[in-house]
Amino acid sequence: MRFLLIALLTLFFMPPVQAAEFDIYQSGFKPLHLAWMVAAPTDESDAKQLIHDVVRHDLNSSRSFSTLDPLSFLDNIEGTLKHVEYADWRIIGADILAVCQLKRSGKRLQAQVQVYDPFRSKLLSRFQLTAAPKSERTLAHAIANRIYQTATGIPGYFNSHILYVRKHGDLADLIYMDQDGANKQTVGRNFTLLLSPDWSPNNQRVALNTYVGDRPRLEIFDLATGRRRTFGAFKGLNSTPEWSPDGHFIAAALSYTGNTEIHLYNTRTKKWRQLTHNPAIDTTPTWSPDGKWIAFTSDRNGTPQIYRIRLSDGEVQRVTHSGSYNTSPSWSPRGDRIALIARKSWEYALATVRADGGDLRYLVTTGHIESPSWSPNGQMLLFSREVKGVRRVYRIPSWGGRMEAITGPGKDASDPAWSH
Amino acid sequence: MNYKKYSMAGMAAILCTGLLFAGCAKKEVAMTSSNGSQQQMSTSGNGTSASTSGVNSSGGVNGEAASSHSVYFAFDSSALDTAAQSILNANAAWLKANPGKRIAIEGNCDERGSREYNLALGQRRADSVRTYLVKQGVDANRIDTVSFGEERPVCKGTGEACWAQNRRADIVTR
Repeated sequence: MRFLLIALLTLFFMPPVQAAEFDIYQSGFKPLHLAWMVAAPTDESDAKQLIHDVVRHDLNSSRSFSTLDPLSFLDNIEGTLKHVEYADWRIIGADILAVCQLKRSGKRLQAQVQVYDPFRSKLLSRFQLTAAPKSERTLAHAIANRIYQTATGIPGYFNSHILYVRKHGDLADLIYMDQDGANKQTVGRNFTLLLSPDWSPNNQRVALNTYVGDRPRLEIFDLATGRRRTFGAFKGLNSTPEWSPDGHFIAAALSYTGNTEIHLYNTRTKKWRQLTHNPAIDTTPTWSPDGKWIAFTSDRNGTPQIYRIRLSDGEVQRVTHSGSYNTSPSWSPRGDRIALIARKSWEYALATVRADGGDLRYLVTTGHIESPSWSPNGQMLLFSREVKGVRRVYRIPSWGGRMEAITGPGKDASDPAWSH
Repeated sequence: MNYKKYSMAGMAAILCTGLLFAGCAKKEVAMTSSNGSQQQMSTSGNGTSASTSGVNSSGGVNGEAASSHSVYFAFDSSALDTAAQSILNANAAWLKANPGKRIAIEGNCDERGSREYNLALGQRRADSVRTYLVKQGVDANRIDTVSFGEERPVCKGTGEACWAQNRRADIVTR
């Protein structure tokens, strides 16, 4: 199926805004056309609607799919469950056909799903999933994950979660929600400043930077219990924590040595060690998914730029060379690219660059853009964007295109962090 | 290019401090911001007298009042210009005359740039002030530093007049 994705890289997608300072990356990516149908017993019409809508929304919002209007379908679900007439789906341009049969077994909703490729007249996958009681959205996300993976070869991310910070006056709350905005809840209240939340690899804890008594500290916040534990409260700066992929370390920027350097906290021995040694600012560490490198921001050559340090021998390489202000690196979970924020003449852009510094792509500009965070499969990016004093969290595909706000205009939202 | 503007802001701030009682400096900076650039213009070009009034105010008839002062910086810089140095000389003199006092230096940034990088920049500004005071003979153990990055702007608008006031380090007694 991957070849089909590549074969379809034909149509152009124009982003709505073209900025003067940044040459916005133009991807030829075109989403797969998906025909999606759900059948259920008549007394399960609510469940049917929910599963249908959540899966459709998941797949459309990924921009890897575009669901076809059911009015264009030549066959109905009953007929298709008995026999797939591939030609009827080819005529309406369906790259992928997915059909789902729901039934209730006790309190549990069960889904039997088939995914077809009409252009190769082929069944691609068949699977059965069962929901825990009252977890029908979770079941829908799991179905979307399997359809996504079957069609693209890449794991889906639809059961993931998002954290972000909402500032109100001088205080800040930590907000949790499903990746599609459902199940939103305030999990931490009234922090005095709250910055840089980062999920532990098992998604159970969050490392964050807050202030207590007007002094910054690093804390680990337990999402299940709400318990907070301080693990960094040195003189000066305690900032920008990020877990290593294996959860063994948390990298952070501390300044107790008299200068801001990257240090590593060992979560088992609870000991710190200094990683960078340079008279410039070194901050915002981000780990490569193999745990062998840390990319960070440093102004060691005069302006803030992205560098990376190899943990085995301390070798430092400069990653960004274009522009005079590049900050906030976030290493893709796929390892190949690093997202960052670029600034030119007071315009900001979300960009990605290959981990070796090549192929810089500016994805979106306008407004004050900050805090890039990748979806767990490396296909989508979250960021915050402030326009006229209103800060919201947005989502954009890693190949660019139209950005989509995922928080409302009424309440402040910043520092998005996508779970693993 | 921005040198004039922020040094003026610095002088305006210290002149205000000189005119009023110690302990109100933070509010005065905010007043300066609402008064806009005109007041800053009128107080420019008088560095020596400005810093002298700084000594008077902070040296204070009443030593128990919390004294606070601000110095200002260029964009993405932690360098101390002559205006900032005059203010710090005055503060160093007061600190040496009041050896029991402890201070914290709070580094701040304007809203431009990345918030996380600005945390480090605010820290470098605070550290730069601390290093200067120590060179003037103030005991390093009496000085604490903290950075608020761009999280606590004195002036909440946009534009250079506002940003210049947010790129600052405040000296506060704790």
